[in-house]
Amino acid sequence: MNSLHFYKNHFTKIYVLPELASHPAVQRVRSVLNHIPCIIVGSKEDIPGKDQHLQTLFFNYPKAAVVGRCPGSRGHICCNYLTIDLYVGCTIGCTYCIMKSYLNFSPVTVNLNYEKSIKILLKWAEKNPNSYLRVGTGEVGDSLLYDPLLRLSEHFIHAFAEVKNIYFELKTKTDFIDHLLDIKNKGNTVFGFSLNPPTIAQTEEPKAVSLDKRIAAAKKAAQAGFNIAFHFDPVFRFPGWKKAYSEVINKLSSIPKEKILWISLGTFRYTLKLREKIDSRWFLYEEYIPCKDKKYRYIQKVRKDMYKFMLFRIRNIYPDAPVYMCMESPAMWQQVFGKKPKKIDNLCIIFKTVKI
Amino acid sequence: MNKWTINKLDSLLKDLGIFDRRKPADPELVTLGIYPPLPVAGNYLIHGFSILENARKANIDRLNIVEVPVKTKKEMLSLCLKYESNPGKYSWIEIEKMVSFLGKDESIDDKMICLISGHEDSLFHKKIKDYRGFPASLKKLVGENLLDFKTARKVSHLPDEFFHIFNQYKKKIKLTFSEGKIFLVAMNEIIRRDNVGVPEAVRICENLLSKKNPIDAVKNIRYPQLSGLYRKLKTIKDENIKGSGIQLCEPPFFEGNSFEIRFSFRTKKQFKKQVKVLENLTKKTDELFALL
Repeated sequence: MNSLHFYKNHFTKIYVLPELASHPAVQRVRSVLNHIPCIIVGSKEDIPGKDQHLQTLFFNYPKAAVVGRCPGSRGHICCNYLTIDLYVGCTIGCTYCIMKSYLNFSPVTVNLNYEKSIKILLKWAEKNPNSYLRVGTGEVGDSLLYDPLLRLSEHFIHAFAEVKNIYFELKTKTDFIDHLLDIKNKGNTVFGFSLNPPTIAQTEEPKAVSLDKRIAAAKKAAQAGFNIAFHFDPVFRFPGWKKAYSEVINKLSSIPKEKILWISLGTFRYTLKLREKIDSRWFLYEEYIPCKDKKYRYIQKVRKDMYKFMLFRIRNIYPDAPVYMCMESPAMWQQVFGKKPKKIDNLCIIFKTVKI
Repeated sequence: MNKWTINKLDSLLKDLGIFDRRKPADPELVTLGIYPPLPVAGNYLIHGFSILENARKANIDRLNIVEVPVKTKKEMLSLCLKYESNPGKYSWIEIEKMVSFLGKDESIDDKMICLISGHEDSLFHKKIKDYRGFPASLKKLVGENLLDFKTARKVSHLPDEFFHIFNQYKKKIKLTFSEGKIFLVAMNEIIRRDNVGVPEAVRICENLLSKKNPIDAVKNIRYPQLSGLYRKLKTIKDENIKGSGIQLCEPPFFEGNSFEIRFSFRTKKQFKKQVKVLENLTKKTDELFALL
């Protein structure tokens, strides 16, 4: 996927706060997307209803920093991740995306107050010298989908380059990494690639790049000296899922093991609100049960088998890589790993709570 | 305001032909002459048929009427809805009749939507379109308030024969509103999941509805793994603790890592017996935990 071509074909209007009109990121976007109107507005609420959708790009400057803890899920173990809402909204269009239930009627929003986020994270890093701060911009949007155009991630990479306990992750379903490869001081930057078998990627992740391209990008990033993470989330159960996921995992062997910082696993889950939006997707006809966080998941016994299988396959390639489950119950941790993450050698540091 | 004879009202005026149930007028008040004047527009009596009915019964020969200066069907319907004053309570059959009454040249506008639904509803026209496209037997279910619109829309791609069979059995076996909904949603998912054709769908529907417990039967097919877990647990319970007064409870939907045992006793003998049963049950621990 050519990023420039994608942006030109996708966005139809730009809205920007008056004080951001001369911001370099805005200027860059306006010079590339010079065929679409750019309108100054006092706030997001001033954007007319007809433009409240994902084809609109909005430059925002929230008063407060947009950093925080991953909200986690009641009754489930959270991996202690910190989030930066840099790009809010995503146009890859994954059918299973939880954001479908609440961000569809909003423009893609770029929060340009990144200096504030950086400042706070540096403060937190100082406050937690014996912990890792795993922080990423991929919670409410794809970290790299718009980044070649906006070039905001590099501010974070430069700012955190010398900070030993910040692991800044760029989570993506694209291969838009080239604009960052030449950065000299990479610090602990991590490129996180979300992976699914080609059959799923083609049908459920319509505008994501192919699996092969994602893996090729991971290889390239690793060769350039960056750390790598992989996210198998959501993992779907379908006829032939074992073979399909095994093939994906086998393809990872080209990435050197020392570059893999973590691999996460999460089986597909949904809220009732999301279900309403995607009611006819094939994967909803599996058996799901309501969990403590009001999300629906595969039956525990089924999930256990899925996680054990994935873990076994991953261990064949990366015997020592930290592998963890995202938003899983203590019972599941017990069944899959035999203990909770804080008691597992290579996971305890990841799951150690950061004081903020 | 004029007074018209009942005969004139009977002979000249046509009903709008929309509402199934009208608010009853109090016969005593009609007899005393305490009633709102009947609005008449052209050949239509817009509202007040129950007043007319009661007047006839009470041998009153004249009623107060007001000739209202409305010309279009839309104006008549609006006025009628204001008189009826029953927002949010109209059945889909009535709503469809309103649309038919207006014909092709006029349509329900936002103000009228508020009078019908009791609130703004940007999807109103889409819902009407969907409702009109439902298979006849499904329309009947929704029109008679035996199924909610949202569920109906979910299952509307199923064939009419399917709903025909469902309607027949629903009355016969007395499925409740919520059981009917559960059955249809589960059937819809089974049909989609298993890619079942029309004749097969109808056959499965009839087969399940003729079972002693159709809801359990449909759940067994829709959720075979979960049903299997409940069956296995039941077998363990039946073989090991049945009749002992001991309750063995699984975590909700088998999501968790522990089972719960509950029992009470009144005599030493009973307690001893229960302890023995529990001792035997410990031999089944692996089987139990295999369910989680």
